[in-house]
Amino acid sequence: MQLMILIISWLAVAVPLGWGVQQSVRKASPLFESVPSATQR
Amino acid sequence: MGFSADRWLGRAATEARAGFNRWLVPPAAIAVHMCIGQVYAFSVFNKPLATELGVTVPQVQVAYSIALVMLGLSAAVFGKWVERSGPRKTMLASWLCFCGGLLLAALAVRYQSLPLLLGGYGVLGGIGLGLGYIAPVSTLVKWFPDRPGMATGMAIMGFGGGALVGAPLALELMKRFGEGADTGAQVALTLMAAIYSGFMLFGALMVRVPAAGWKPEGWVPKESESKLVTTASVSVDRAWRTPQFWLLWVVLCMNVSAGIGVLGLASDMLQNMFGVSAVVGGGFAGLLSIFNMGGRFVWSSVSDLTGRKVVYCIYFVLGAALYATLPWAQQTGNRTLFLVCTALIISMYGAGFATIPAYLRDLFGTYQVGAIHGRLITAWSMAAVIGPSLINGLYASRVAAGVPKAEAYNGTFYLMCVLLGIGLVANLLVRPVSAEYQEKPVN
Repeated sequence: MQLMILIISWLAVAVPLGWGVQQSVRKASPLFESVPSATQR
Repeated sequence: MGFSADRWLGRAATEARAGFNRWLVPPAAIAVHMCIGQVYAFSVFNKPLATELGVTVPQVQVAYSIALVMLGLSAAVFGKWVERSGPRKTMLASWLCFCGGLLLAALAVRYQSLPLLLGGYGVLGGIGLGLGYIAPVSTLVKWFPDRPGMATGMAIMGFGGGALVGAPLALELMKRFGEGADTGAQVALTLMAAIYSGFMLFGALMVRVPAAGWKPEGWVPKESESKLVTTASVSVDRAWRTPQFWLLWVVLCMNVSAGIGVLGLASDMLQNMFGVSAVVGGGFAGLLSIFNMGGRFVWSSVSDLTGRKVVYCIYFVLGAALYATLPWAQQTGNRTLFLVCTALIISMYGAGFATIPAYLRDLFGTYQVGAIHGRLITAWSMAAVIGPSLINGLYASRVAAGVPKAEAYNGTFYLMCVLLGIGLVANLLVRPVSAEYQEKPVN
């Protein structure tokens, strides 16, 4: 029972935080798409 | 009424029974910090609230500044009450203030009242921030005497993550409920108060304090640990009379000042220095927010291995070296190097917040560490004012002097090196707390 509560508790905070990180990664993606490679410089 | 409230909410009511799994406490702490960390994302409401209230963006931003000042003040003033009342009652008080502040901000939109926004989100919400910030941290420090850095890193990582969740959540809600002249801010603020209520009440329900004298199974405090780590107790009233308290105050203030300005200017900085678009600049801010969150957990956990004094030396020395590299990265047009350096700098900025409670616990013991932490947080409020002022002021004066925009930031980077140098000196001066300040706790 305690293990179940433990898993649910961690999921309750991990899911929104994971969503927030995913949103930030998506926001940051144009940064990497536009970084010129070494051969282009 | 007082009796029955204490029966359910007081410190004694939250004392864990034998066999309680301490890993249930970090999610409770993270849940509260993740909600109050929304303050970092308040800027997404700047334009919608300015439009709805018929005021300027800087007038709306005052609410954010008040909230940060109130965070420091309430943490300092209510620190002893927090220690006395226990985490559950404090988390509930934090919930009432913070979510009440969000609801008053929603009412401010309805009645187009700037004072209601400033008093609601700024003052009331800010008090909620201060209460919600220190209670989970001091609880975790007591549950993880074997890994205090990792424990505080987890909670304060949640605060950094609050911005990552709060900004897209607010934008999604405003997009969903905004229509025509209605920006959707009122509904977004109301729904956020409801959603955050769920998480904060979950945290208050789950939190427990260890029984007096509890230790992790099989853990024995090492006698050979650093001399800075004490097993004695120092009360908050004595702690803030020690030089160590004020040295750590300077350490936190300098570390925060050096990072906070860059974090706020990230998007503009990349656009001006490398000529990228606003979309790419926004992506840079997104990247930094991930490192701001991750650094809190990673570096703070590292401090359990290296010791707190060493890890702060790394923050200051490595941070200054990285700042000194930025002008060269700009001159050579090496954007990748610039990104790597700034990401590392911001990871150590976040880490400065996360490691300080463990440093306080090392020096003053766990007795009233939450209250001591509360008073130290005034350094953050101070840095929130002086950091951006210094950076903006120096940048503006360089531009006014005819320096090209791309190069005008270089002077501010060297100024950051100086601030970090001051922090390094303060950190090196930290010595063990004299026995004259130590005492036996009453409980």
